[in-house]
Amino acid sequence: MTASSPDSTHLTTLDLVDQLIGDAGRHGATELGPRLTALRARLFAQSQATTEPELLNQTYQALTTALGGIRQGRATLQHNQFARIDTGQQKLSEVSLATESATTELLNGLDRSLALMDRLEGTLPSGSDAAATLTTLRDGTHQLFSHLQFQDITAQQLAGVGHLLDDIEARVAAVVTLLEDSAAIGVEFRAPVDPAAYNPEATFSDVAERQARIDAAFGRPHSGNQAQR
Amino acid sequence: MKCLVVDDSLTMRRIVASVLKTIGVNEVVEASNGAEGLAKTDGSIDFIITDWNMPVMGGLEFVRALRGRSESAKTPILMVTTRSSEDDIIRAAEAGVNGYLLKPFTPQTLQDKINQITAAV
Repeated sequence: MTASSPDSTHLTTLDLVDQLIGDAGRHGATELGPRLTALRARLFAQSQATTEPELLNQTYQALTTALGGIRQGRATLQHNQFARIDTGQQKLSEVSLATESATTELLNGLDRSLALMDRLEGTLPSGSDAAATLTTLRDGTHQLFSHLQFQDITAQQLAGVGHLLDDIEARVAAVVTLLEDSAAIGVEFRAPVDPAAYNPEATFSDVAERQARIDAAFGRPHSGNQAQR
Repeated sequence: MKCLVVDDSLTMRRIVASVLKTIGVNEVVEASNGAEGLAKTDGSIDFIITDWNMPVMGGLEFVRALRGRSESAKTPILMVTTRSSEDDIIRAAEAGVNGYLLKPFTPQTLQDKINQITAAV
């Protein structure tokens, strides 16, 4: 048995389809026949084909070209968009880590400063101007500690953006899979950050006003444990 | 006094600890999530400061678990978080927190809240 080439198989199939269309028109397929005839007439009018196999062959070529475009689009998505999203996520992680590291260094520096102030305090006469200045300096240093809360809040905001990028990446992957079921995505997805571990709505805005609303609401009775105490 | 500080942010734990030091809290126990906090909770803890959003076990679940244990059923708890919706406040109150403080806070507001929750017990 001789193995047939893809082209001969293709032409044989098209011939069979051609015969089927002819049979449908001749043997009582009264509803199908007129529609196939009309379709045939339209297709021939729009192409340079003279026979059904030739027409179907042209259609096949057009679909093959379109499929090539779809595959190219999938490859573009796969290689470019995933890479860009990944780079964006890496940058976010770098910013978050760098900020955390810098904040830790600042906290260490403030701790050392406070330790030096404690040592200095023992050498100053009680009630002196220098002692009063040292107290002011210590209060200011403690205020600096609280300003470093920015790191926790920005880290939560960055985690929110990172989660958004994860979501976009998953959606792009879903589109790529739709374009070609058997496509190996070839992207290693990071373990997503637990959404319960951060508040994407963390903000520095209107803290005093929001705290006042909380204090007012917290003072009202609720149905749970708070009301029972 | 002895305080348990539960927050997944090392920065926040250190900031809270620095304020606690200024108000005479001489022992601070730290935990990075609710599950770790539960393991470190015993009858010797005078009050607890906890974050809400944490991995493994969040603050709300942590508070509910604490209230279900005899040794921590009445321990004063301050929730320190960025969450501020009405629903959040109600859920926190119903879980059993004694006070609720927004981040970022000033040392004075943290001190005031600690005084409030410890005085009420």
